[in-house]
Parts: sequence; structure tokens; C-alpha cells
Amino acid sequence: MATQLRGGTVPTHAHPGDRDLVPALRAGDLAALETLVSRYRPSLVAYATRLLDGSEMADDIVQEVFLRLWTHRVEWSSTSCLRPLLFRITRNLALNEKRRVRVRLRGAARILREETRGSPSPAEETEEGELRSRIDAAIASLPRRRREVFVLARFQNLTFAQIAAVLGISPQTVANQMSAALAHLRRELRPFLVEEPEAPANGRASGGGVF
Amino acid sequence: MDTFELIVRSLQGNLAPTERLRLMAWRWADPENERYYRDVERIWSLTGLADPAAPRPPPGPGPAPPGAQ
Repeated sequence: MATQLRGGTVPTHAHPGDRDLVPALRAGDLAALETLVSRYRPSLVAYATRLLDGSEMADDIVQEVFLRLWTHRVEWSSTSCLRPLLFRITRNLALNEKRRVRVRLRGAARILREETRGSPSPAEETEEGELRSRIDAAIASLPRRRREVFVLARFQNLTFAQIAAVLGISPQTVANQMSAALAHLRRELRPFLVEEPEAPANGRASGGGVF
Repeated sequence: MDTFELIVRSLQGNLAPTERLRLMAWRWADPENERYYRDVERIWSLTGLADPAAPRPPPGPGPAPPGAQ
């Protein structure tokens, strides 16, 4: 496709909702595609970056997402909800890429990890660096599906229904996974959850009512 | 929508006024609820540091912040 998708200019027409863009997209309107690129590219790149553990491939993955959206535009239903669809395509492509890289670079990655572990960067020696490391580790220690749900809610601001559509699970499963993810992080990050002094007594005993 | 989803949507900044009232009522109904909410709120804030889009400090000690002794 000759169209340069990366960093394209934002179209000057008014900002239509996603639902209005689907028919235009299906009709081959490049301006509709450019609107979607400018609207979703940053959050999709951030999502792909996280899925790929910071790989620079995220940009290419997202370009491929929009290319596929464009190439298959006539196949999308006119009632398709674009936001979960874009995240779902990004997820599939990023996970495929991750699998390919893992197979290709398994040995090199192991050596790199060992070297990195032996020599912490200066940033990791700072307090904030340590805190970030702890938080990264806590998120990384979540089971895969639970981590995916948390990342989509926390960093992509997706609703439970949208996450359910991206991952192909029920909203109730999303709620369960999210609740379990927060319980896990609550345990892992306990030292950083500063207990505030008790509020003046209000006569209530604590207990119950939590998830 | 259950209370747990309300909590998450609250942290995402996506609550309607009536939903905000429902959440406040839940928080005030039990000190344990309030403690849970505050913990989750803090987790939300902490994990913002792990956002790949968030700015990272440059490597190395860097210059002292303005006004530092």
C-alpha cells in the first residue's frame, strides 16, 4: 500500500465517532483510515510495546494492524466496534511476533538476561528505578491471562466489555481475572501501600464486604 | 454493573455522577471497603510508573532537581 501510515497528518474534517467511520472505511475512504490511525496508533503502540516487552517491533506491528484493517475493510461488519477489534488484531500480531522471536533468539536472550542480572543499570540503583522494577516484576508475575486483563484495563483504559471482546472471554471472567490481579498486586506491593492512620472512630467494626 | 467494575471505572475516570454516588455509598458502608478502595487506588497509581508510555528518568544520577540542597 502506498499510503504512509506512520505519523500521518490528522485529517481536517470533523471528528466522527468510530461507528460513523466504519461505512467510510468500507467504502475505501483513506481519510477515515487516517482518522483511525491518529486516534488509536499511540495506544496500540503502547499496548504492543508492553506485549513485546518493549521491543521496537511495536511500531511495525501497529502499522501491520492498520494495513490489515484496510486490506480486509469490506469484510468488517458495518456494526463492528473498532476499538476492541484493533486491540484484538494488535494482540494477535504481537503474540505471533513474540513467539517467532522467542524461537529465534532463545539462546541469545538467556545470555542477555544473565548479563543484565549481573550488572544493574544506574537507573535501577535509584529509588524510583527500584520501585519501578518491583512494580514491573509484580505485573510480570501475574498469570498470562490475568496480566492481559490488567494491562488492557490499566494502560488502555478499556471497559470490561471491551476487554472481553478483545480476549474472547465473558465480561464476568474479565471481572474475576481483574479482581484476582488486583489481589495479587495488593500482596506483592504491600510494602508500598501506605496504611493511613485510622479515621476518628465512627463506631463501625471492620470486616466483610471486600472481594 | 457490580461494585468491582465501578471501582475500576472510577480509577479509569469513567464514572457517571450516579455511579459515583453508588461507589461512595459502598465505600462508606464499611471501613474495610474503604481500605480496599484506597489500596486499589494506590496500586493504580503505582502501576502507572510501569506504563511503557510513561517518561523514564535518564540513566545515571542526572542533575539535582531545582532547589535541591
